Amino acid sequence: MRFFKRLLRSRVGLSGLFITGLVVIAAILAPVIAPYDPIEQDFTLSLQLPSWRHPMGMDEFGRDIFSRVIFGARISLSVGAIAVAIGFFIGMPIGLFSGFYGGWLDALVQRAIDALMALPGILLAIFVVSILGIGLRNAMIAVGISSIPVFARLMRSSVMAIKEETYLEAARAVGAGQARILWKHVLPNAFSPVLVQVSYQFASSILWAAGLSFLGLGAQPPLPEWGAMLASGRTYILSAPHVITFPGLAIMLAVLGLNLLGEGLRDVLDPRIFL
Amino acid sequence: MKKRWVIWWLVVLAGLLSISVLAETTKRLVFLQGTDAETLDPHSITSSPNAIHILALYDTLVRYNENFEIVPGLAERWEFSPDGLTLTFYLRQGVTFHDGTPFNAEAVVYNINRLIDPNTRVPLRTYISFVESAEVVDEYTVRLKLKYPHAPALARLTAPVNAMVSPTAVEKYGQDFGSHPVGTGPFKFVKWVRDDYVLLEKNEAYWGEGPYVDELMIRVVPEDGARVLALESGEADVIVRVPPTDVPRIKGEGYRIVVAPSTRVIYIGINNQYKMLVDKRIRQALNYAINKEAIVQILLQGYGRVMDSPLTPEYFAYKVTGPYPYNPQKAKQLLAAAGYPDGFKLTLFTPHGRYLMDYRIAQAVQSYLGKIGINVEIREMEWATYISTLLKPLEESPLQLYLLGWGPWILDPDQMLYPLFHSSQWPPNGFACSFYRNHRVDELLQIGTSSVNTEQRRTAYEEAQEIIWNDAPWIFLHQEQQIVAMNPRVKDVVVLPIEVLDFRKAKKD
Amino acid sequence: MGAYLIKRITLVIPTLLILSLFVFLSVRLIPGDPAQIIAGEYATKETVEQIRKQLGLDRPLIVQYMDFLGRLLRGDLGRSIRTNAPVMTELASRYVNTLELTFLGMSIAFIAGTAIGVISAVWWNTWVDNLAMFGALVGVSMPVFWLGLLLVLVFSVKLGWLPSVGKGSPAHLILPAVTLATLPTAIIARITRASMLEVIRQNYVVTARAKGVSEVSVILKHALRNAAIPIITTGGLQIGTLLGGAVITETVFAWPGMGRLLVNSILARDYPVVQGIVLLLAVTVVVVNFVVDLTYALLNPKIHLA
Repeated sequence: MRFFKRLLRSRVGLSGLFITGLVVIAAILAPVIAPYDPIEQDFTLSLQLPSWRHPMGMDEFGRDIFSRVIFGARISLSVGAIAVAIGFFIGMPIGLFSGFYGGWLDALVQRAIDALMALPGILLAIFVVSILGIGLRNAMIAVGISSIPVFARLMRSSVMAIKEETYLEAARAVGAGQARILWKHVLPNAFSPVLVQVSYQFASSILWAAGLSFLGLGAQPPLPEWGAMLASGRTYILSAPHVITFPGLAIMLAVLGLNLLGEGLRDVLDPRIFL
Repeated sequence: MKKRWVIWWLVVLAGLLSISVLAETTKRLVFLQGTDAETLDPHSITSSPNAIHILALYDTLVRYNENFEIVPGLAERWEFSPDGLTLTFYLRQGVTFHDGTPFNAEAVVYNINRLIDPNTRVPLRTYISFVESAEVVDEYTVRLKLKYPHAPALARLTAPVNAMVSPTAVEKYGQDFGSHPVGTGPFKFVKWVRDDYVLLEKNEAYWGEGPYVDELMIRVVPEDGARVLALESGEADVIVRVPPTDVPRIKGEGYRIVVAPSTRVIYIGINNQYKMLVDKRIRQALNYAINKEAIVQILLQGYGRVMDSPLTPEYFAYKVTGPYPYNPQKAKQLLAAAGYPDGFKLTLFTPHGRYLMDYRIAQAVQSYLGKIGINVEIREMEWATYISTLLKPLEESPLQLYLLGWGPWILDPDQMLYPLFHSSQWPPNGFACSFYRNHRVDELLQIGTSSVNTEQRRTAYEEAQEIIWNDAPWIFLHQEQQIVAMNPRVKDVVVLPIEVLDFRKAKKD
Repeated sequence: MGAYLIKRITLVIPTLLILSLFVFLSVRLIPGDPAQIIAGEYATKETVEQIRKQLGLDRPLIVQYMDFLGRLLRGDLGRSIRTNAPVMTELASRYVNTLELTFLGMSIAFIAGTAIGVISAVWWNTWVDNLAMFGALVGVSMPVFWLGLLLVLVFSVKLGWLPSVGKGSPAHLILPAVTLATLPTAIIARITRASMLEVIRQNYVVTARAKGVSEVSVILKHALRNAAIPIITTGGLQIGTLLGGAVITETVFAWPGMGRLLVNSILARDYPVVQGIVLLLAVTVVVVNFVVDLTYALLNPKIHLA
């Protein structure tokens, strides 16, 4: 609770929370808020400029861009959430055990993570998609896999930093078992930097997924994914620039909000961490 | 530390700048299109964008001018025998291939033999399959023996696939000839960087008029908006498949827009042997479900003409048999009558960037079919992969619906109908990928191909059109128009109705 | 120093080996016939068999891997399924183009990022700092492809200053490099600022000031030099982000690098090419990281003495 209040007081955190909150609400309430069906085509309204009835205008098929952007929030947030979940729930245990137990297990895992990180970010996601096949579902998995090394590394360094703390010595002296130590002492203290990273990684995941869709490897038509909307809107960059303006702004806003939130969290949880 | 890096990069930059200054004094014409050539061996090509490279590097015996008239190419004169089974060509003298090999009757015979040899890979063999054999009469006279009298025989020899290649070069390079082209054409081969560009240079010894530019660069830019941007920033001189929505704006900026007729029709092929699609009513329903006028008016901004027959008006035997007006209710009724009131799922294969607005047309079709309960999944295909998928035999073909175009290189109904609807042309023999079979149509098309009696052919084709239209082996969409944009400093680029640009007389200020 | 070098090399080699193992296994791990998967679902039976022979997929896994590794070390990346040309040939010139773009982007990012970070640190907590840091945040949040399109719109079409497509003159490099550099610039700016701030508060800076050394000298010579290590290491590590960004940037600007080939090859299921590109990119990243490690060692006096 105390932490939450502090977050609200930080200007950065507050604006991050606000913007992210907007995006989340848009995503959750999409069917309610969106005035039109995002896939329904009406050719007579093709490429119409923004107006009162259609505040973001229409795309080349006569689909309402505002509705598509709103539903796009749903897609992007789902992708982000699933990707972060994959990275978190797979990466964290890897990092935890690797850091805690050390030795040759750690060394091996480290080399494996190094190998994965040789293709950082979107490159790894592209590679995974090349194996699994294109499409939104595989893009989600791919971006998730790309997130694993980050969390693993982070968890491991947090754990290793804490491992040497004196209170752990005390706990061992008292006779507490390994697992108990892990659960009660190591984990909670390693948590803060990871929480901050969740926010940043969510932002990166959205960017990577949009990038995959832009390249044609992610979401397929007629899904209203922001990156895909930018790719198909390229043709009309000069004759109808509103088609790419709004999805691009949407991506930037969502990512910015999450990054700001991450900054705020960092300020609150541990200003010494620099990511 | 930082200072040293800065200095180092300044040096590199200076180096690059000086190199670029030295480079740019040749007159180069830059042409952009959406797909790369598949090969530079004319006998193996399958598509019109590829034909542009061919017509720059090679010549044919005869060719079309922009009024669709047949004029001399490497042959000066020709004559048919009275029974129509022999065609004699009198060749132009003093022509040499780029590698110095002389062009003569022997070279022609070599080429014809290569084309009709079943061991050579010639996907578009329909353009030569009427020829039985070729023989040398004297150094500059060739005689072709035909299998049957064939009305469009001369026209077929204008096709880019029948271009004359250097026998020496083919012997030398064998399989790799496609990357080392040698012809008699106005331009010579310099370099091919796949997926990027083909660079050609002026053939100083060209037998005909021109060329007037030193270099021709045919560049691949798949994204149509990017092509327009390149034109507007001056990097490109000529671009094709301009997005129709950009036309008014580009015109306003002073660029020249050429809207030229095209023989190409765009259609959604239906695999007539696939599950429920064998039922004619369902195929007709697919036709009624789509608002083709809207597609032409909105996506193509009016640059197209909805098909109302398997043939288009330019053909002598054209007869109005359609259209299938937009009627989603009737479509639903037909589906229900055929036993599918709740619709079903289908996959639509489509290329992306090969035809004007192709991917978008696919999306529009997806939407329209969705409205009558047919759930369509779009599968985007890269062009070369698409071609090999299309040519798979029935047992292996994954095709259900597929978006494709067909732009004959000759203006004869035989080339428009036979390769697409005659059952002998099922893949892998030809491009009848709809696996359509109708015995009466087969008979009629056979008459058309082997008769030289115009009235007889007309009657046959008219009846064939009726039957084909009613059987609805395709979703008949529209006939395309070519939209080409040029920088005003470029002149005399000829836009042929076979969707090929001729640069031999092009000039650039 | 020599010992450090050897130690780092012994760490890199297992990484590279595991990397090659990952790539090798990737296709073979998917359930199904690897030859069919590589050939793609629409390939003819002959093509599938051809690929099986070509890649030797009917042999035991270990043998395949040894062969794969052997060919890798000889620089043989196999043949493209699409064009039948050796993958190495297809990649060679494109790799150089991608590197060109990437390193230019990296340089811009270093120069601009460091400058912004220093300025931010010096004018800490003023509007300059806040503006710069907000700008950095926006830079990190902006999708590369959108930024590229916007830059083309402004500088290519509206102003007509710079070309938008392809490669040719040095001017062709500018827009793609600037687009690519934006994200790493923001990151480097942020870390420079933080690093500088830490250093500025240190005693020796205060001492230098007290001794009357000029402010500029203090900043540039003393503070920056000491703050440099995290800047260089973080900046060097951006190589991966840069290569990923390059793939997208090349698509926007039709830059003839590996990016477009990668996407086309994925869509065409030209697996040998995809594999080759992935390996090449990954090795680049590992090598650059290694170099950064070395630089770090050279710069960090503590390691020097070890």
